[in-house]
Amino acid sequence: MSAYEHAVAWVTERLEGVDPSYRRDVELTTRELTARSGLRARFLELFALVALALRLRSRARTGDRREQIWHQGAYIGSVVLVLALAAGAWASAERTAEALMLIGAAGLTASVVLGMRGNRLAAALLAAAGGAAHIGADASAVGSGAFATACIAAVAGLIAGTPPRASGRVTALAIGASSLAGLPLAVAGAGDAAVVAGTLTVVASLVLLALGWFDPRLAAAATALIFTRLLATGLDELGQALAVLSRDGGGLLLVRWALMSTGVVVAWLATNRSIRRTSRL
Amino acid sequence: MSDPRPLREPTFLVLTALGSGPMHGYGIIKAVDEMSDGRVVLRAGTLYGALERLESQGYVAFDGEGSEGGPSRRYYRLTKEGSNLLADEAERLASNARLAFDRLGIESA
Repeated sequence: MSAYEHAVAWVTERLEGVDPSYRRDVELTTRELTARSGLRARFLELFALVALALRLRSRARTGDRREQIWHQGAYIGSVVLVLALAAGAWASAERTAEALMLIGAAGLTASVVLGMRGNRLAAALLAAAGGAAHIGADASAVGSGAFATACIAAVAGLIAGTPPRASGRVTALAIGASSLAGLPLAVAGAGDAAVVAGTLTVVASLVLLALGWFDPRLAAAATALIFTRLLATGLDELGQALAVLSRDGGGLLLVRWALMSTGVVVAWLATNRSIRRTSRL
Repeated sequence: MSDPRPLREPTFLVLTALGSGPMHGYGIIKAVDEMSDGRVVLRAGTLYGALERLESQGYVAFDGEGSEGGPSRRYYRLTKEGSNLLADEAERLASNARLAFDRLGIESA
């Protein structure tokens, strides 16, 4: 089998909520359609299969119930947020090498692993403890207020949200370990914990929003993430922006705040559109 | 079960392909390609997503597995509701086309 055929088989094996003959049929049809196709056509077929897998997974896990989609989206968004905070915490820990900071970063990473495994209460407790340890290590650091707000929002999301099916142990560990990406970011001088976490949150929001076209839970997760970012930094920035604006007319902060608010609305609209699309003929 | 919005063209063509009898996925894709003169190219992921939606809403049903000398395939057929949906949509499109021809003073075929 070629690499392409392996990829097709890998995706079709992951179609949820359908019987084995459906998976076999999808794989067979895809292989026949692309038997003499070029690279571009094969890539497009694979992309369509991934989109199908995402849509079926969302349907299998939520029954296309709006409430379930938002609850699972909030949970996924919270786990991603803790992952971004963990990366930020590792970035700070690498620079300061303080024991309390290392404990905070480890706690946040463990929270991601437990969150992925579906242990939401343990994940929420570890996120709270890890966040508190990180902030306690250097409460006067720039952006510690935003970091704390994001931690509170993540804990709330983990408690209020509904975990989707638990991930496998290896997947959960691999995703938790990806928070160590904060270390090279710190070496590259990407900035403090809040900046690293904020940047990763924006990148993750965009990726989730794009995938949310097929799986509405991911669009809901993006909405939760952007809203949290607005909550963590935006409200503070709005006050600063208005103060600056009244003093010397500088409107950059106001523009940033407006962009974030627009982002929340756009993500919310995208989620609702994605939900409607799942049943549109 | 019924959606008041017009059908999307790929869905309309999938239902039309099944209008003549049960077909498997590959056959539907080829039929849609032929009927639309290559204008509508269905990807396997798109087709099976549409079939799954149509099946869950009762317009299409699984018609068993069969093979024509090759590997076994799943066949799909239109249900009574699916036939009604297709007929209603065809009538709506035809009515709109008649309206446009009338306004343009063109005699429709």
